[in-house]
Amino acid sequence: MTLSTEDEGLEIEKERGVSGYEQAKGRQWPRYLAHAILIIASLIAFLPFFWGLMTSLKPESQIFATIYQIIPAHPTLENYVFVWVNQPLDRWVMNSLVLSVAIVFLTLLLDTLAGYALAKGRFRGKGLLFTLVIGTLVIPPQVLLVPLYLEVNAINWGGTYWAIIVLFIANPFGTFFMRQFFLTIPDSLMEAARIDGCNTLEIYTRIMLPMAKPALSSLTVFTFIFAWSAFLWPLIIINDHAMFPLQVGIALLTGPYTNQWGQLLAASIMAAVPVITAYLLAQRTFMEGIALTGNKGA
Amino acid sequence: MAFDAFTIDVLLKLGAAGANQPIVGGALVFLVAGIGIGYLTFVRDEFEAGIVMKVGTIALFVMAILAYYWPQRPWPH
Repeated sequence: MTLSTEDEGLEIEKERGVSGYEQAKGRQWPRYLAHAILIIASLIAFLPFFWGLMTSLKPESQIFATIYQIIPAHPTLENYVFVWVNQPLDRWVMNSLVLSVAIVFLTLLLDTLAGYALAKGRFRGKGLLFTLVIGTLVIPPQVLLVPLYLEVNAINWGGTYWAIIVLFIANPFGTFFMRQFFLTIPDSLMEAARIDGCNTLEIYTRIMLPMAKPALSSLTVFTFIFAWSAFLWPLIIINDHAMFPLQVGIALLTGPYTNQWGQLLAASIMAAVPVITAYLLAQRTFMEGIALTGNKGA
Repeated sequence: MAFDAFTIDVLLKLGAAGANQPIVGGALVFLVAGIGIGYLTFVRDEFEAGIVMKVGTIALFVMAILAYYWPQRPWPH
């Protein structure tokens, strides 16, 4: 009896092992294909950055003479020194930081409140309001440039930081993102908090916000990258050289008669560092947030 | 009307900073963000803040000081 059971067990295990192996073997090629596509896509994305980094380490005279020799024979940091000394790069970095921090902070505050209301609130016209919020996503920002320029100048905000900050804090993507996250939190948690004496705002600050940390982290990185790389609107609305954000300042380093490509690339590499740092710092929670909110394609 | 003019004047002064001038609006932004993040990090236990938020709070206060004093160096900085 025991022998028979052991035999049966062995048979079953053998069958499972064989079938599992065959299944695994059969499923190997899509995995290899996916990895190959991802590796090629990663290389395509990474190569220009690497090329830019290496070119920024070449002397100005050698950039076009050795354009296909990616790794410089005699790397130098002179481009970084020249651009830092000759241009107000630190001021532009500070301007970009002011704008980015303000936009991220206010976006998180407003988008979590709006997302909370649209996910858990009960009020008339909620569906219509949500449709309107989503509807603004399909309007190209370039269409709004002229009316926004006229509006901002009408209230004398042209050439101020507020013209950029206030315009960017109303972010429909963030509202949608936070709404999707808050929908995943069960209502029973809110009911329990309400029984314990919390009002709506306390539920938001004590229950919802701490639970939304992964989504907040993702939204922080998304918004920071968006704010840091903003170019067209700041270029239009800011006229003072001292108030340019970094991206606008770098773009205006290229002149009609001379281009210091080495310095331009050095400044671009320095401009990329904060974004990469923000992503690396929040990488784990960033991934969690994307997975939790179902915004995998965003 | 006088109030409007005053408000506009204050907003313009806070929101604009030329060469060698302190970025007062920026310092305020960093200060408010630092207080907000610091409150969530050090006061509210339920947030279970990690090292990034703790260091970030201090960095924001440092940035507030820098935004005021750093731009006052000779141009270009």
